[in-house]
Amino acid sequence: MKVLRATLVLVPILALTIAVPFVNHLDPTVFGLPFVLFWVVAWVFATPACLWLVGRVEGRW
Amino acid sequence: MSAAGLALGIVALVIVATILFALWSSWHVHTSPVEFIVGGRSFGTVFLWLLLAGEVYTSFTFLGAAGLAYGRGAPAYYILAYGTCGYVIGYFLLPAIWRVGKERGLLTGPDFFIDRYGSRTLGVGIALVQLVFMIPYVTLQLSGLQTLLALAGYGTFDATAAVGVAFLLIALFVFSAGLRGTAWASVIKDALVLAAVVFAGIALPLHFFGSIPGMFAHLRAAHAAMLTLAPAGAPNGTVWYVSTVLLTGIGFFMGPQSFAATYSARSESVLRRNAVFLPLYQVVLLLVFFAGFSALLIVPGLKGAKVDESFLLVVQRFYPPWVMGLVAAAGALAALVPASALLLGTASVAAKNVLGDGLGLARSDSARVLATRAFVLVIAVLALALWLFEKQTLVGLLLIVYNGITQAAPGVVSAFVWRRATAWGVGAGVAGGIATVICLTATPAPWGVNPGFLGLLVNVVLLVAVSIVTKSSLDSTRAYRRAD
Repeated sequence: MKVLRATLVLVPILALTIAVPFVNHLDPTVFGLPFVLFWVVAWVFATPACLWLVGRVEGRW
Repeated sequence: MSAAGLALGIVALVIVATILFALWSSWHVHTSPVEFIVGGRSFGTVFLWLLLAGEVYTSFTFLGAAGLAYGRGAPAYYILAYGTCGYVIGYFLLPAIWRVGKERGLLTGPDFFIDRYGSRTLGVGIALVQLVFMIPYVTLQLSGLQTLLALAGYGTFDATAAVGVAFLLIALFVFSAGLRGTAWASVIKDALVLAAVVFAGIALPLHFFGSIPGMFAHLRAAHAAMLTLAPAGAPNGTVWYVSTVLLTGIGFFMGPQSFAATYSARSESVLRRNAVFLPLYQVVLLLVFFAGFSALLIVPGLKGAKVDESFLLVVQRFYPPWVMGLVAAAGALAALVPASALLLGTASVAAKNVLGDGLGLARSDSARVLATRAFVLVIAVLALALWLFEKQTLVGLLLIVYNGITQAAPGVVSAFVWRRATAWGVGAGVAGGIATVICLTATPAPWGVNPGFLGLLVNVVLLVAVSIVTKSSLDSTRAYRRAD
């Protein structure tokens, strides 16, 4: 449980920080967005899902 | 009616209506410090959402983000990332801060430090750091407002004078409404800003380029290098991006207005729910980038602090004055409502912790409310002075704020996770962090790292080292230990 919780917290933060230099490309474009911008936007959407799951794991809702 | 008259008339009408609405909605509320500063610790999920969205999405979101996309391109992506990281950290930190605040009757960030570390001197020091580094944040709102009024005036009047008038309005607004009025005003603000951003971020690309992918195709042909980050060592390159997201994400909830918002919550779960869902609001920023990128293709050539005019200039040139008026009104509220929350939070800290704890003055309830109001004016005037002497882009101002404000974070985190952290350790960390930032403003930071981030590293090292060699003998740490 602890590991799952820590993963759900760390993955979005790592994806939005140290992962970004590695996806810093124009292609492939997604919905017309340069790939790096798409990556960041995708994680902005994924983060609430991760935090919501953390709450589930903690038994809060 | 002239174009300027119509546009400015709409702006004035919206501002006056918002102020009346806020006053009316908080008319009956009694003004004690607990009510005035932290809304009586009574805000539920929706109301706290309004307050947080009200103070987080500012002139910077509206103009500064577009200006950064216009002027630099990909570095603007950091704005999407840092708020999201801030909410992840906030999910854990805010409920913990709220719990000890409620148990021990804390009203401000420095109160938290005084209580946990048992040092009034440390609290006064933190208060002074917050006071100094929040001034550029108020200047940012002022500068955004000035840009809007100048463009809505179609070059017909002295915008500097108009900014003075607007600031008097906001001071009056803060005096009478307090935190509750600010949250209500942000209902109108958010509705208008959302409409304006959807217009600027979707209608502009559709009108000029047919579609959003079409706009990116044009950008790619003209400015391909701007769409990805520069390599590691370059200014605003990947190293800058990572260090800036970390610095500003960690500092996201460290400002005095954020402590006030946290303490205003009714319960811990109100804070958790907001941390989960507020990242979705960040998507608004994507539309702001679209507006900034469109402007780069339509009205190229803006330089320096002028980049913050980007999409407003497009609206001014290609759309009727009533559209300009509505967009400018949205932008004006995006400056005024957060300015109110920032002024209120910072003035509370100045009155309670600098005047009260530092100098032993204004300790009764009525004197404290009066002193808070006086500091609202003092801070507003200082922000105006900074605006007159230092012309910066909006993002430049925001990064100065975070360089200082984030230095409180190691002390807040270690309050909960490390029993041995001492007042000396935290104090040395903050002092070392700020000294590092000041040294690095003179010389460019190595590898393009954000100077505030290096300050944060120095801060953590000093906090640990000095805490180990000094002794803490406080019972109050017990209250902080249950928090995880």
